Amino acid sequence: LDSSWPELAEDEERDSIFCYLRDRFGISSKQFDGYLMFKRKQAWILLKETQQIRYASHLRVEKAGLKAFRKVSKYVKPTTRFIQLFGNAATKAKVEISKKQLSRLINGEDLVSEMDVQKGYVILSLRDGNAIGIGFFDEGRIRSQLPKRSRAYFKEE
Amino acid sequence: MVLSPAKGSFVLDMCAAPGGKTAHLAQLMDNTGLIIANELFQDRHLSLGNTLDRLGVVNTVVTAYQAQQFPLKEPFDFILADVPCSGEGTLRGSALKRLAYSKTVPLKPFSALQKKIILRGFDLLKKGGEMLYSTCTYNPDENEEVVDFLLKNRQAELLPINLHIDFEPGITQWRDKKYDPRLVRSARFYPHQLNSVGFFMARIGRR
Repeated sequence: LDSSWPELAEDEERDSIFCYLRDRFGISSKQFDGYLMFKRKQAWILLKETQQIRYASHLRVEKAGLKAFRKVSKYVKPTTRFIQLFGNAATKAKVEISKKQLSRLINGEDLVSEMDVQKGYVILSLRDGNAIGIGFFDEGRIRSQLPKRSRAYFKEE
Repeated sequence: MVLSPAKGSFVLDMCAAPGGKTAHLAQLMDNTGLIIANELFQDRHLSLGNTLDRLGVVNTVVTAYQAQQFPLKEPFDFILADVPCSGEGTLRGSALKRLAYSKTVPLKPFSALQKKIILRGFDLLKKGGEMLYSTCTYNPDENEEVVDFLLKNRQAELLPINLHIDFEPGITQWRDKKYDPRLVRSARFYPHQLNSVGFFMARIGRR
């Protein structure tokens, strides 16, 4: 690959992220068969694996695939877009919220929750089952991690 | 859709920002294969990246070449050349655009650039591949004349456009200029027929 491409993540790093997704959210690593994982700075990117990548290997690339995770302090933080794509496969650390609760979250309020999970990221899903993003759970409260630019969109909903 | 890339295709979008058409290509391909979303202008990469991420596109990489100089190394199955144009088809919706247009009307540079892009696009196409050339303008200098230029300079064919909406065939004569008769296979879309923006498309094949 041209030097402008992000570096491929080491197998160990890839395994560690997929184990985290399995252990924290119950998302099977089989979901990611057929994806390449790249690393750029403190972020990891997913791109569909295909033989055509070798045809494009000489190209100078500005962006590849979807930014899926970022390292935030000791945590791996899934991006909102990653959660919107893969979050429906989660079986754990997932909280169903009403539109009213969503509205409170995007207005900056915390939600009180009795979830039985350790401190860390949780998946927010609407009652129709669609994952919309993540929150951070700590001491019985969930804090919104939805990006500010998405808040206007959710408000319109 | 006029350009319908099969799953697993290798696709080039020569002028991709803000990314709506690229994302639609990814959807048609079920997020398989690989799309190269090329956009020269760095200041448009943010909107392009946001559109691709927001719509869950995972089969695309973004490059920043001049479309007319895109590297020729590997041929593509499908190419979208939705080229820079004078945008006459979009004037209906914006008084500001109409005012700016009436003050500038920079038509000649667009046509020259469009001719370079369509030739490079065709040269990047695999045998048996398809390219869609499109603009959002009515000006024949940027539409039929550009496709006519391709037909004169390359062994290109014009493929029929089958859509279940109203459109008019491309023109074969404009003022004192005559164009290749095959241009009736191109398509002109008009706001008074579709309540939309104005648009032009030519579906180009390479044998």
